[in-house]
Amino acid sequence: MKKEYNILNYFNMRSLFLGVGLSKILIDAKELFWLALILGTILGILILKFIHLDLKNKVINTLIASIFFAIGLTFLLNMIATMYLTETPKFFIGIPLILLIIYILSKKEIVLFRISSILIVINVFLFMAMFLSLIHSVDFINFSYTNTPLKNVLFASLEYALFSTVPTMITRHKKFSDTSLIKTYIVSSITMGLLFFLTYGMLGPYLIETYRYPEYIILKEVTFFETLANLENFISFIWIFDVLIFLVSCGNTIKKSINNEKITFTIIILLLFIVSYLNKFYEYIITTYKYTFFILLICSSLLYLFNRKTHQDD
Amino acid sequence: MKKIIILFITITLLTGCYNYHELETLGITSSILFDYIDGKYNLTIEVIEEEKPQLFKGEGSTISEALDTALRSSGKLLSYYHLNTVLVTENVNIQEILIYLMRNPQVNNTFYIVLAKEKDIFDEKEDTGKKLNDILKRNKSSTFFELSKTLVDDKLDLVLPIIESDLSVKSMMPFSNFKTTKEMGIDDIEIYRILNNIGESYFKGKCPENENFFEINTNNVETKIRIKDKIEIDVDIEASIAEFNCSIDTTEVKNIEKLQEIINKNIQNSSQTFIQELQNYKADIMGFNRLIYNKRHNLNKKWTDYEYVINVETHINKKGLILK
Repeated sequence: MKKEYNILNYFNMRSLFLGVGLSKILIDAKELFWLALILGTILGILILKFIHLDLKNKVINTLIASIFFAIGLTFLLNMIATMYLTETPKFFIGIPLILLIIYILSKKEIVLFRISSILIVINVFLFMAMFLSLIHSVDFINFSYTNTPLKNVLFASLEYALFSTVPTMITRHKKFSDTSLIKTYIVSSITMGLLFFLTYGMLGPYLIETYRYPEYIILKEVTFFETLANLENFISFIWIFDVLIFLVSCGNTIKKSINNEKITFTIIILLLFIVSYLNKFYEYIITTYKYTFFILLICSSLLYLFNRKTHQDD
Repeated sequence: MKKIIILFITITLLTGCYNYHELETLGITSSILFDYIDGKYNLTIEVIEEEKPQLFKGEGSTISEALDTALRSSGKLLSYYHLNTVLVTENVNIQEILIYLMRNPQVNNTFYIVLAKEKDIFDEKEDTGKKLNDILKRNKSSTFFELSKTLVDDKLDLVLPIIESDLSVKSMMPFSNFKTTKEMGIDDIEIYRILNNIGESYFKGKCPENENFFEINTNNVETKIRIKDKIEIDVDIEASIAEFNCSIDTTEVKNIEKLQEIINKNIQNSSQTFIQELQNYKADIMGFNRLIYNKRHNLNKKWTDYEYVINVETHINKKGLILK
């Protein structure tokens, strides 16, 4: 059970990098992304080690989990609408996703853990295939000097720490020690580091700033034996699994806080309507892109303030 | 019952249906020719239908309008997933075309872009786009993905191969800030490939004892560029003898050394001329400014202000099946 819990959080730690986290960190830190990653990982480990939560405040938990759900759904819907289903209304893209989330939530929590355990195998396979196919396309000239200020690198490290640790805050469980997450966190940082390396090494500092989804663009170069090509939509399921598990985790937190399935499902469906409506306005999409870091900072602070473990609880 | 309802809703609302198109309505595009005359884009689109190419022409003040008019009468929807080649003429604004293609999520990144001298190069019997793709792949030309970096990096200029009417590549066009400069011939292409570590090249030299020629084929090239007070380019070539019309004995080391020396001088002189020409056109297709900025962290002295020292070391280590 602890293993499955850690696997679930492995997906959560990577979920917010789709479309926002990865490109922001690479744009800020540029060729010094590796430094931002190391500093961010150290900061993330400190956060996981010293910030202990016991999710007991039901109102705040429901509110924060709903905000995270909305953010995750926004990222996923925008990515699918931009890359795959360009003519489909975002609401209709969301319907099968929401139905799937509701179905998983209608089962016991163990089902979520088991789904994560199955998806991790597919995820690892796709990641290895992608890495082996793209490693030769990395051009070291792209790591050239770009006069990046140190403050940008430090900010990127903060972004990394927040984007990777905040999603785990909604899955804190009394039974499992927080320190068991640290090993998972290190593994997740290694895979994210490899992805950063591939993306920056293939695109360089200027194309990173040009493309909306650089992590998807590099997948267009994936080929096997010069025969199998155009596999980007298939390989990008790595990202879809990450965000899907994160959305189900958020829904699970809402369900545990409210303790009523029907109200939980109503909230989730309502969130789909709200997110689909807001996504019609480009201002909302740009706001999410620019201010996700600050939203996560405020939400994680609120979560900590209302849910911190006191000495009495220990 | 609940599961059946959920299944029914999911199947009927399967979001793939919105983007669904019958295969017959899709125009599988193999190549597009962009031209610009009298303030309008003129496009020729090669669409593959039942393995036969069909050409559609369109005109418009924007690229989208021209594409739309081209296919309006055919009732087809353009599909770029299998785009092989994009041809442009000297009249077009290449930057606009590159940005248009970059923005479209359907476009694969593995097609090639060429400069076409003639507009009338499409063959109605075979897939010209695919044929060009094979030719350019053989020539190790840069794909759209590699060329897109020149769009956003002001320290690197674009270079495109030029296609003749018989689809051969005999020259290339370096651009200076997306403006065409002057055509460079096949010898310059070979030097460009050597200096950029791209694929195989052929170099010929005059025999030391008579007026005949010999030719070497490069098997492995390593080029290192160092930025100091001058820009030093060290080229290390492993080569094999491809053609030999000399009368000297190649089993003797001193003769091989003579041949190597001839090739070294040829490549050195050709490289100096090549870089001199690029400096005159101000076309930094080699990315020297990028290297200078990486080393010096500023561009107070640009690549056109430097002197170039080129050192070539050729090692002929194969002669094929003939001993002498």
